[in-house]
Amino acid sequence: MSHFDGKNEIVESINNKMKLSDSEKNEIFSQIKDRIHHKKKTTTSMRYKYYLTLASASFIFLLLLFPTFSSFFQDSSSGQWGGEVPSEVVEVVNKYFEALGTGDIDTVVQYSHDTRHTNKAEQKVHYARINEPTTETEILEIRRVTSDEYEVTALIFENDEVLELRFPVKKMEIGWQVIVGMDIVRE
Amino acid sequence: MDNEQKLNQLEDWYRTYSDDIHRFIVYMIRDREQAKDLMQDTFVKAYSNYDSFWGENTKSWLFSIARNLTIDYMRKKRPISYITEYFHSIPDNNELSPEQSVTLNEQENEFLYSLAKLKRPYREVIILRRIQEMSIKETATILGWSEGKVKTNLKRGLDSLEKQMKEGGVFK
Repeated sequence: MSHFDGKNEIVESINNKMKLSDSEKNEIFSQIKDRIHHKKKTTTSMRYKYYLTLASASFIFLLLLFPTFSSFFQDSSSGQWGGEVPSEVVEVVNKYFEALGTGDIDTVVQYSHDTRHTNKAEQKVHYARINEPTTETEILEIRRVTSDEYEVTALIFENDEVLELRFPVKKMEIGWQVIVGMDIVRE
Repeated sequence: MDNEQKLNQLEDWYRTYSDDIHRFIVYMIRDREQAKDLMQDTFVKAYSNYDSFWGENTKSWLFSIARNLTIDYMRKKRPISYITEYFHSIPDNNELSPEQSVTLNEQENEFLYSLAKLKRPYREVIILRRIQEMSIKETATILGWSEGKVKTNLKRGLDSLEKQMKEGGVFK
């Protein structure tokens, strides 16, 4: 007997309830056509304006980035993450990701601030619900944002999948914390 | 092929596969209305990428687009707290949208909740193989896995789902 036997009736019932009506499908296809037609109306002059705007924005962006690059090259020889990253930040980040790898929930909670929870106890209860908390990770970079905020870029490995994610690390009353519980930027 | 012909072809695909694609997205994100938007995005993207499609397996191609858009949506939308939740997508609660909670009974709601609590690869393979009833080959193509990996993950996923549902009290 298949594992799925006994659930087929539930699935069938959900499928019926979620099924789109003909009018919904027609409406969605009309919207698809509208979007496609709207795209076609993009004229050459509009494209020219778009590229001009993009080029200008890129130029301004590079100008703004210049001081960051300058300081990066100046400090890159002092330490693994560059001289700008305090050792306390590096320690917190290392301990947090190491704890993820070993499934040490206490340490994960200690070094992270979860914006969805009002306190550490609540955060810990939530994390304890996860059955297999171990995750292989690799820290790629820690970057200074301000004197009170850094950003860590890490690789997360799962089966054949590799994700590159970035997390803020902020100075809080209890010390430096990896901030989680918000939208995470993925490369 | 001109734009009009492409649009006609797209409409054929839409009439053939929209139900399946919508269903796949619903099971992935448990949100019927949002699934409509993502399905719409899927067909708009299929039209944009039409020239790069070599016509081997339309269904797998469309599902691959839908899957990528759905994963992007989940990553942007879901306020994850814990890094492993990318792989163990525990929802904040087992509530569905008001519209869905009106229509789904407790057992159905629990089934979707249990499915949502699985690691994403398990959830995907169960949805494609057991709910969409796709072949191993089609599933492997969509997920970019080997056929062996599909079988292994399906077995593990079903075991995990069984466990979740027993814990949820639906199946004793």
